[in-house]
Amino acid sequence: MGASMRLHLAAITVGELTAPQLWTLLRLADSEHRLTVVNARRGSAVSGRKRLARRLRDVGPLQLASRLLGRVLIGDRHERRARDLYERLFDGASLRERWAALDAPVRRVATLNGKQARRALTESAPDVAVRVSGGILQERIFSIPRLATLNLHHGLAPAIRGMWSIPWGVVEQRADWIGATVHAVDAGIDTGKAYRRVAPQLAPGDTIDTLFFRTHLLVVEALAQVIDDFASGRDPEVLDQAGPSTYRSAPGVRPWLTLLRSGAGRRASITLDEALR
Amino acid sequence: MILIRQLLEWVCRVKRGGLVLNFHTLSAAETRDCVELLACHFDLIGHDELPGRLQRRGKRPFCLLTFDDGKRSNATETAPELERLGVPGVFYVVTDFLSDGSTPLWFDRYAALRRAVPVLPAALDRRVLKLLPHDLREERVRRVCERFGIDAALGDDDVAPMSWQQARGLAERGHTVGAHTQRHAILTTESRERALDEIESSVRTVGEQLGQPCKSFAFPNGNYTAKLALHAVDCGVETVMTTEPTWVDPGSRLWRLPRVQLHADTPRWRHLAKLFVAASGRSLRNPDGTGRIYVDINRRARRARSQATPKGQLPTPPRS
Repeated sequence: MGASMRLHLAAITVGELTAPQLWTLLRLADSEHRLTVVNARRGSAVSGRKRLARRLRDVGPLQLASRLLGRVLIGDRHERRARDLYERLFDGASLRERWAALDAPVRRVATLNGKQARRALTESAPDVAVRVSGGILQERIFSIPRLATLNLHHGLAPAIRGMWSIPWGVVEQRADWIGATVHAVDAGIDTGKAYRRVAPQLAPGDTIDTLFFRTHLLVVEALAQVIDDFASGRDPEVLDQAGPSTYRSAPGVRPWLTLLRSGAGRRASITLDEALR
Repeated sequence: MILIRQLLEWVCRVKRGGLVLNFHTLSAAETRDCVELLACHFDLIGHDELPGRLQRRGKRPFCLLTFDDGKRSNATETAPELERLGVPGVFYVVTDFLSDGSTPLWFDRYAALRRAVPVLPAALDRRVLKLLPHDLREERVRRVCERFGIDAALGDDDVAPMSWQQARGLAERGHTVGAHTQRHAILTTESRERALDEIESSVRTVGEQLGQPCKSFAFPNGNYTAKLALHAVDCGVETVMTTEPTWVDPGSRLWRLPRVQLHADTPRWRHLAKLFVAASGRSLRNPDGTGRIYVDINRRARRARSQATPKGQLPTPPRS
């Protein structure tokens, strides 16, 4: 094995940093590599109305209405609660203190895939970029880094791709979906080369939020290992991508209700059965 | 109090099986009180009698006393009193805690912190801390303790660990010494590999230190999965303890035995009430933080057993 290089990392984020995102950034900053943050104010330059029209075209009026209703009636409230829990679990206040003390260089840009973001990334010329938060990266962004652009997908790709993968695993009783993947970003959604997969233990009493928390701790460590692999001059091992693959997007009312009935996972078979199997 | 006593008496007359009780520290006087109370209703048994008592019906239900963590007072106060009263106990020790001897367990540090700083940030809420993996929890509590210049008093026998010499003495005098992980990690919050290693190492260390096989394992905080419990069995233990606060009946499996947690500072009538409610098989909250979902789990277990047993055939005896 060759000597380790000091890489230049770029972390791509959107909006205000949440506790899990700060956890990722601090882990990257704690490594021996140099870190620059590219922080976009918004994920997309497309207006809300246009995005809504596009969704309507993609999923149809019924599914769109179901998603909106699910979000308004249940999703937003759950998200607020989850954010509070992550603040406590990750100790957001102390992470913010540590992040401020680090004074890492941050390039503010308007949108995730916009010209400013492209310029900021090109100028900082990173070896590896990490998508820490935000929407789908376009090729003109993810192709800039010299070695790779990495994503943390909270789901075991390619078995499950898309958003909300851990809750989908609970709703559809698929333990084999629950976990996370460090993968290279390509033109598809969570279809790039998978470098590491991690899965937390499922246990009675777990909810989607405790599972997300433990998964995030594991996947951030896995990300650091992948970056160290790049730094040592060898490409990280690419995992087997064979097997069936399912794509899931935002949930409608029915999955939310299923999740609520299972106490966000506490009373789901997938967690209770772990005590018996 | 009299009513609860009579109810418990009645339950004890009709029920088969018994109770496994979980304590942490008891003074000699508390141990005596406790044994006197329990001896009115139960046969107080040792660990090795447990599998047999699950199979056959005794005149009275049984009760097994267990003590978690391996604090020094277990060896200096509790065990001598138990010996005087002729009652064997089971002592679960945290192996690194005993080997190191100079680092208090996280919850003793936390208790010292709570006494000195009544209002702590939300990230230091006890329920939140119990959801963290061990290293993260240790680091978070240690950091705040250092900031305030506070630590648990290792001079206190309810905080300091017993020595391995004392643990060997317990085993020689007829008590059972079991494993309680290496570091008191809540195993379901750890990575799978780490959790399996905690079990294996602690069972091995207890065996090596005692010079005899480790017979029992108890999950810290009670959180378990079947995979972890069966791994403990694969490591050689005969019984695995959780903290599901319910009665041990003939259908109970030796690899996930329920235990009712009692505290020394709780009034007597509450102890009795808790035992009575546990005997009814439901309603108590599991102190491991999972509430009452053990009721659902046990219902599933019963359903699975009845589906696996054809009509007219007796169910298979519990795994031993």
